[in-house]
Amino acid sequence: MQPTPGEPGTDTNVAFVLTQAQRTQVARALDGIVEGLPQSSSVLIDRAGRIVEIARKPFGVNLPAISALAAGCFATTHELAAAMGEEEYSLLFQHENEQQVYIWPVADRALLVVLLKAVMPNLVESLEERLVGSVGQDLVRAVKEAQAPPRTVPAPKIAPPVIPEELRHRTRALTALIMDLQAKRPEEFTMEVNKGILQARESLVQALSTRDWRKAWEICEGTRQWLLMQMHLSQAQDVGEVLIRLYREVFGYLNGILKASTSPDRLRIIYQSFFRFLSRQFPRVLTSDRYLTPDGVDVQGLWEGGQAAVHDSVQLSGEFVRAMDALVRELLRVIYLVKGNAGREEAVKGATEILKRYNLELLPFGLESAVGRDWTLIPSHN
Amino acid sequence: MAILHEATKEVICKVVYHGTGMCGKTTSLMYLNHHLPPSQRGRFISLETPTERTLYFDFLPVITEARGYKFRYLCFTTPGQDYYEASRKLVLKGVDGIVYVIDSQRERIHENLSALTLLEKNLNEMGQKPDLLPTVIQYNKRDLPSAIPLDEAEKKFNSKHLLSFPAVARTGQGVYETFLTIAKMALTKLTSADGESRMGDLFKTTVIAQEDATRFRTQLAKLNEEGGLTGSMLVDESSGLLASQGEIPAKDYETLGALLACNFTAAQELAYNMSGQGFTGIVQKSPRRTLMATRVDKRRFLVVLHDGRAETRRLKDAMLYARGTLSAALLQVDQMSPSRLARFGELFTSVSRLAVAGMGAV
Repeated sequence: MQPTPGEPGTDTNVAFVLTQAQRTQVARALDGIVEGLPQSSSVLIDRAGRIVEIARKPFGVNLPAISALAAGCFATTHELAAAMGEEEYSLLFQHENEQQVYIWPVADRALLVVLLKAVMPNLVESLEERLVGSVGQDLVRAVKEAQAPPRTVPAPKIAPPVIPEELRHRTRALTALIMDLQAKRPEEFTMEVNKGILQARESLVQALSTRDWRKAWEICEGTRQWLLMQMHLSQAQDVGEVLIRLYREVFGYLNGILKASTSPDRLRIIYQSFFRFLSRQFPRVLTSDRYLTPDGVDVQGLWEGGQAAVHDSVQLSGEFVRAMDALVRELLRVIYLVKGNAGREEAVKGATEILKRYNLELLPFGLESAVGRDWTLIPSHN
Repeated sequence: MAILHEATKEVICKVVYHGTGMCGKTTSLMYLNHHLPPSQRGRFISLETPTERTLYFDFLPVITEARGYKFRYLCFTTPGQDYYEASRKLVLKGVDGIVYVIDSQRERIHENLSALTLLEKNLNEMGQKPDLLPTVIQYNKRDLPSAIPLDEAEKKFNSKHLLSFPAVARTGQGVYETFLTIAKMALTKLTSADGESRMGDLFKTTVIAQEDATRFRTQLAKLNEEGGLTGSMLVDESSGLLASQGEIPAKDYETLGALLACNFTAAQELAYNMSGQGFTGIVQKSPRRTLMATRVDKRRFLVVLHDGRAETRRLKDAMLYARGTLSAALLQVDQMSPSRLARFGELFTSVSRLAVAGMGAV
C-alpha cells in the first residue's frame, strides 16, 4: 500500500525509526509544547523534511510541502550559521496575518516545527522555556534513541580524471572551436550541423567511456575537419599550413613596400641582421640563416625546421607566431624609418587586412588575432 | 536575473541544473567542483538529506575573468524527488540559464518527461517565459547499456531543437562543455542579435551603477546607526548580494547571497502555503547574534544583523524607513531611463561579449 503523504508513521523515507513507546513519548511531548496555545500545532520532522509525528494536525494546509520547505529553510540557516561562525540558529517566521512558524533543531537529526495562528505576548519566550524544560528534553531523548534505517541510496562518486592531458586539450579545443563558430556564424549552425555535432559528441563520450583514446582522438580531429568543411572554412590539416600561407603573404606585402625604396642587397642585410638578433630570442624557430632567401625568409623552411625541435604543431605554433610577429614588427620599424609614420600606418593597415582574412582559418587551432598599433597575433592557448 | 556591478566590475548570472531524481545534477556540479582550479570556483554547498539526496539545492559558484571584469556563475541544482516540489520551484527564481539533465536509461523516460513538463509549469509560476530562457539539454549516463539511442532521445525530449550534449557526469564527459555553453548563452541573452542591450525590469536584469552602490551603502549605514545594528545587506532573490555595510561575519559573499536568498524565498513560500498570505519577516536567533530579513520590493530583501541588544521599537522604525528609501532607489535602478540605458547599454553589451570571448579559453 502506498503511504499517505503527511500521515505520521507511513513515510518509509524518514531518517529514523521510532518504536511504539518512543512514538507515544514524542506525541506526548509535542502535545505538551503547544498546550494552552490556541490554534497551534507542532510537527516533528526529520532533517530531510519527512513527517515523523504531529500533535493537533492543522486543518487545510499542505503539511508535506510545509515540512519540506521548513527543512530546506533550516538547512540554509544551518549553512548560514556555519558561514557566520555560529553554532546553530532557531528560526521564526512572521506572517502578515499574525501567523507564525517557529523551527527548533532537535538532537541534530530532527526539527520541531510549531505553527502558531495567534499572537500572544511573550509567545516565543514561553515556547523556548518549554523546549529547554522537561517536555523538550523528553522529545530530544526519544529522537536520540530512535534507530536509523539502513541506507538505500549510494552517494554519487566522482571518478578521478583518466583522460590523457593531450586528449583533454584536444577535446577542449574542439569545444572552444564550436562555441566560437556558434557565436560568429550562428546562421550556419543548421539543424543538420547541430545533429552532426551531437552525434560526434556521443561517439566521443562512448570512446572516452571505453577508454579508447585513439578513437577519441580520431573523432576530435574528424569532427574538426568536418565542421570546417560545413562552415566552408579552411580544410587545412595542420596549423602550419595556414601560418605558412599567412606569413608568406604578410612578408610579401611588406617586402613590396620596402622594395620601392630599398635595394635588394639592403633588404637582404636588413633581414640578416634581424634574423641574427631574433634567433637568440627564438632559437627553436629561427634555427638557421639558411632559411634566409634573396626575398626575405623561407617561411615553410622555418616551420619545418621548427618541427624538428617541437613535434606538436599546435605547441610549435605559439612560438612560431611570436617569432614571425617579432620579424614583422622589425620590418615595420624599417618602414617607419624609410617612409615616416604615415607609411608605417598604411603598412600596418595592409598587414592587418591580410591577417583578418585568415582569422577564421586560425580559430580551430586556438589562434586569434588582436591587431593593434603593434601588429600582433595572439595565440589564445598560451 | 543577471546583475552588473559597475563599481566592483562584476557580472552575476544564475544557472540551474534541473531534472528528475538521481539523473546526475549534483554529480555534474561535483565534477565541476573537483576539476575546476580553485581560482575559478567558490565553495561547494550541498543541502542534502541524511541519505545524500538533494534536500533543497546544491550550490557552486564558478568564476571567470576577462579584462578586468569578474563573471560569477552561480550554479544551483534543484531537488529531484517529487516530495520537494514546493522547494524545487524556488530555486528557479531569477534564473538566467537552465541545464536540463536527462537520465538516458530507457526505464526512466517517463520520469524525465514529467520532470520536463513540471519545469515548464514551475517556470511559468515563477514568472519566467520558458521559450525565452537559455536552455541546454545534458543527456546523462550515456555509458550505461540501457541508454536509449541519441536519435530517440532527441525525438522524445528535444522538440524545441535546443542545443544538447551527451554526457557521463560520473567521469565528467560532456559536463564542462554543457556548462560552458549555458554560461555563454546566459550572457549572450543579455544582448539581442542586433546588439541592443536587454536591461532593466523587463528583462529582469539589474545594473548597479557606481552612484547606486554609494546610495545603497549610505542608506544601509544610516540604518545600522539608527537601528543599533552591527551590519546590514541588500540581497536579490536570484542570490546576488547587491550591497552590504557594517560588520558581516562571513567573507564568502557568493555563498552568503545564495544562502540568504534561498532561505528567504523558502520562508516566504512556507508562509504562503500555510496561510495563503504574505510574509513580513524572518528572525534567526543564535546565542550571540540575531539575523532578521524583510522584503524591500518584489525581487529584493533587506537583511540586518544585531547582537541582541538592539531596541525593538527603534529597530522596527529604522527598518521601515530603510525599506522605503531602498525600494525608491531600486525603482530608479529598475526603470532604465533613456540616459541610463545609453550609459550602460554599450557597457553591458561589450562586457557580455568580453565574457563570451574569455570563456573559450578557460
